[in-house]
Amino acid sequence: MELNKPTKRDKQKSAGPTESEAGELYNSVKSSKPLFASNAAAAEATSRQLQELAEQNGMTVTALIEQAHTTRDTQDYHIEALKLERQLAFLRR
Amino acid sequence: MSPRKHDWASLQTYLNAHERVLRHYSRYMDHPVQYKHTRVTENYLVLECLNIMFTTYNGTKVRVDITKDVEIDDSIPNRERALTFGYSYNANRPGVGNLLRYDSPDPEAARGPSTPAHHYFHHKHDWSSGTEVIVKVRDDEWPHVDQFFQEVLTRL
Repeated sequence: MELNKPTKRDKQKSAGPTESEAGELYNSVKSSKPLFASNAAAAEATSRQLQELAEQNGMTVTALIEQAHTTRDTQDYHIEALKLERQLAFLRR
Repeated sequence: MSPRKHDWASLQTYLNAHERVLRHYSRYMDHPVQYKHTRVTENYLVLECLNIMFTTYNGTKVRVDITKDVEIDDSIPNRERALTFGYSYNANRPGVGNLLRYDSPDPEAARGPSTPAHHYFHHKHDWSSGTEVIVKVRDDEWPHVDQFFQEVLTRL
């Protein structure tokens, strides 16, 4: 498999984090502060964000979610809508 | 009993693995990317890596967007654990449309009479044949991010 045998050029092209940077994501998450103190507060803000996203795109929340799930032409706002939908579900469970 | 494919892992292991996968596949990306994270609450983390531009083995340009919802168990001090609660992996060919998307099931609390049947399961939307096909994915068989990248690179 090609992945197991990267060429010299592949290695040179690789521009992701270096080994010394590994763990950067963990350190960044560990040092981050939660945006909300409770699920209820977070759910309220998420719901508001979803409503605003729908309004910005001239739709109801229901129509936006429906479109985000069914369109083949996914746009950034669809990805955001799906994320907020899952976020709400998590916070309200 | 064999270990579950998707199970609790230490937060550090979980995040390092995600970072490592991006690094591994960066050679197929037009530009390097990193996860953006949002700590919504103490126990809820969102990871996003959007607009990853891949050139597949066939030379196809594909945009990939990854979002993951991560539950964090902090019940033991300094030994935080992480578990993926929800995810969406989308592959799109710019100018053509979506090719593949894996979605987690809707959480029980979010299901209602109008919930489509496939939202009860992990599932995959596949438009690669030109017509949308929705395939149910078994509970512990949905792909890790690296498996999704591999599918994108080899199939598209």
